[in-house]
Amino acid sequence: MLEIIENNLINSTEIKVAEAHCDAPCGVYDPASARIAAEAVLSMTKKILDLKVPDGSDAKATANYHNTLTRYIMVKEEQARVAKEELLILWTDYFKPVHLEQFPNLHDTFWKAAKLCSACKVEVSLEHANELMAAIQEIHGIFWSSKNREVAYYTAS
Amino acid sequence: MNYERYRIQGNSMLPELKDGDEVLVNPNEPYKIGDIVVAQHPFKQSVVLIKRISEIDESSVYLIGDNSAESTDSRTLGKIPRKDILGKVVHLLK
Repeated sequence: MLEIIENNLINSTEIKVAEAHCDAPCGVYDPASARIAAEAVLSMTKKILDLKVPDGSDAKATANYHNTLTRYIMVKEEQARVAKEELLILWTDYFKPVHLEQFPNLHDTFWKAAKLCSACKVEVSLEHANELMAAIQEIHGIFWSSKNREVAYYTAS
Repeated sequence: MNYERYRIQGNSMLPELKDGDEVLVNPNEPYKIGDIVVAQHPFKQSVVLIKRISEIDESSVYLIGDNSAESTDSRTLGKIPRKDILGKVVHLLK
């Protein structure tokens, strides 16, 4: 009876994949994905700060202002979340205890960078957005150094 | 019956589950410490993990691979929220 049930299940059930890896399945890591998101955060922060508040009597300009401001905020919020997620993936999946011997400040660097992502979401802070970029540049150096590769840091904007 | 079928990829559950093995998972069966479960990866939405429960508290579980030398689990991922446990492994198919 059990065999019949099992055979029916084998034949009729969709097969999904359960990862029993020691690492992310693709094994592809690059701090560039966090850097691109952080650049978007910096860009949106600048745009929000530069946005001119219109004369309150101009209804159309006021509507446009709120629409533009909302779009900037949404992108900043989302990209800060992406930057944080990408950093956490690097921190928890790529880096291993052995790297701590080579880079004793590893945990502190990632912890502060992740905190900066949160600060950039909560605030409209050019200072913190620039600090996040600097932290990601530092992580870029640590990451490629751990792979014994020299990869020049650059920004898209 | 609302079972789900999973194929194992990787070596973190050796020797009990080998790469390529298939298991049946019951999403509704209660689990306890020592059971093998499948769970949503906390940082990668498209990835499902398979590990053994080492500790349970009110809101989360601590998952460890049987082959700890080749396992990324709660030691680095942290506790997995109970809501992300997708089911308990109830049967090894092959």
